[in-house]
Amino acid sequence: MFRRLVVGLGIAALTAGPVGAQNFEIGPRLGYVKWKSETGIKPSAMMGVDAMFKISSRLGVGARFDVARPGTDNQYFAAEMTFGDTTLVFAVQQPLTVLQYGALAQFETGGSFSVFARGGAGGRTISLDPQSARGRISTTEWAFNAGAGLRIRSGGGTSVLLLVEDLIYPKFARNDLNPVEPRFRPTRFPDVVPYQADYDGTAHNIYASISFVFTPGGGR
Amino acid sequence: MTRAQSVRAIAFALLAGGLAAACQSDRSTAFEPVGVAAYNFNVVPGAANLPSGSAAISGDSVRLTMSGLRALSTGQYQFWVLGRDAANIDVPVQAFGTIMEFFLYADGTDPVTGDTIFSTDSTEISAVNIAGYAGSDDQLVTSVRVTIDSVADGTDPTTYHAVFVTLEASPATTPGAARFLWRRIGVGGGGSMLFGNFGGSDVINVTSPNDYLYGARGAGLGGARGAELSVDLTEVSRPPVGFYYRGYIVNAAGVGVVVDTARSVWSRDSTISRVSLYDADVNDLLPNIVGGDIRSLQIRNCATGGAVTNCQNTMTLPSDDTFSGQVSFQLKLEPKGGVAASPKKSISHAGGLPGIVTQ
Repeated sequence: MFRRLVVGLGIAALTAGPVGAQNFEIGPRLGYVKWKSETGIKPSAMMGVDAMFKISSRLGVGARFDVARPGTDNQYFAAEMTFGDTTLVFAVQQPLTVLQYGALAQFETGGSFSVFARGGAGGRTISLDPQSARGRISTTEWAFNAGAGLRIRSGGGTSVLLLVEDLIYPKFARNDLNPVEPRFRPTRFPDVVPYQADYDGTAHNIYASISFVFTPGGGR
Repeated sequence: MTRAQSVRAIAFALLAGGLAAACQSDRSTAFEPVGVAAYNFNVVPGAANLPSGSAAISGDSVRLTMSGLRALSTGQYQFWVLGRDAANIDVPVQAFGTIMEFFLYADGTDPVTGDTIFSTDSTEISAVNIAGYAGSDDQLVTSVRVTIDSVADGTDPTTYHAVFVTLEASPATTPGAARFLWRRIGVGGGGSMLFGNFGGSDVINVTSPNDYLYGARGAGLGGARGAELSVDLTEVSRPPVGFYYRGYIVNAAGVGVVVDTARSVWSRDSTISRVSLYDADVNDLLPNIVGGDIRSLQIRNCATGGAVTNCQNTMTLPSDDTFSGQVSFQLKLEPKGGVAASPKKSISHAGGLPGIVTQ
């Protein structure tokens, strides 16, 4: 079944008509990400842009770039500090910078209201706040995305895309986001901020966005 | 789409994005206190009432005078001699003796009944079951005097190399591993007994390199926070075989409430986090056990009504004003088989609670 679907999509894409001279699309995007809660990242806005080269009227390939500035969820990060005869536990929250980038492929049904599916692979870079962490600390790993949406053509080579994607972050380790030096992590009173087991694994994050797509210089 | 339209589309998108981004929490918060503060106190070595004793040779008998022995709810103390001659230097032989004196209290009387707690039992004994004499097993013996006047094969005990005391779970015919109090009378004659792990025969030294001598070492920091108590100690001596550490909160009347048995400190690694150190006397593989040291240990618990997340919540103190009326924290060295909370136990380390939590 799956093989038939892939073959069918391929044939449909390659026979969907000729590609004109104006076959390049730019799509600034704005959306909202529900990060997997165990990642220790609070839901946030995310913005980005797609650059898509249309191989045919139904199939395009390109690149994406997205950026977000989410905050960490302080229920996962705590510091225990002793000042002489008093010990205090602090919940630590910091802003992160999340970059996602990579290659992209998109298939759509065509027409004024078209349904499309897309997928891609690339990387993500998550940077801690240098004022909270011990200097400039970033982690870079693979990132994938898979999603679907609706394209509404508004004429003149412009469209609006409503998109829902799964931002797939393999090898995600929440502890990488902890800005607290190990010696200040709670051990005497570890349950003031309820301790939750480390999270390591593949994080699936849901990204809903709207894109304003246009063809520079006009297009079909 | 004209160039102007394109620019407007981009501008709109970026403006909207900028507004959304501006709504995000973009500042770090590193100093947001959570819950109430913990008030700390130092915990330092304060050895008191540890098992001790002396051996005196008189005629054909050996008289042992010991103190600091805990009453046992199970088990008993037994007496042995070791190494009658060169051919049997490592052969222990059970000793029989007579309890000459037995005091639970310094003045020899029970403070409640006024009765004299004194025994001149002339019956040959092989073991001392202090609970049987005390009438209560919640006691510490201030003095017990045993005269060893014969051994299992009927020979003179003074001709042996060493005399030692063991802690046995049940009557034994060969000594167990908990050989905690001893004197090498064949080398040094009478004198102070040593407390720790008896290293066996040594025909040259009174204190052998094979002995482990217990001493209260190391120090730490305790903290009282709401209904929770947490005490961390480092570089603490391993308990002698047959003993373990347990923490108590003690009030002005000397009444103790159990906090917990010593455990390894909390760790993100669950395999080494809060592992009971009850068997730190014999198990070299427990966390933070290195040679004769426990590199770090933790005593932590919360009041029964406190219901602190992930805390045992088994400390029998009120959940409000938990430490009101309490005076100190004491780390005690207890014999396995000893009974529950008692004010009169062997103290290894102690620390006074801060006034702000005891009011």
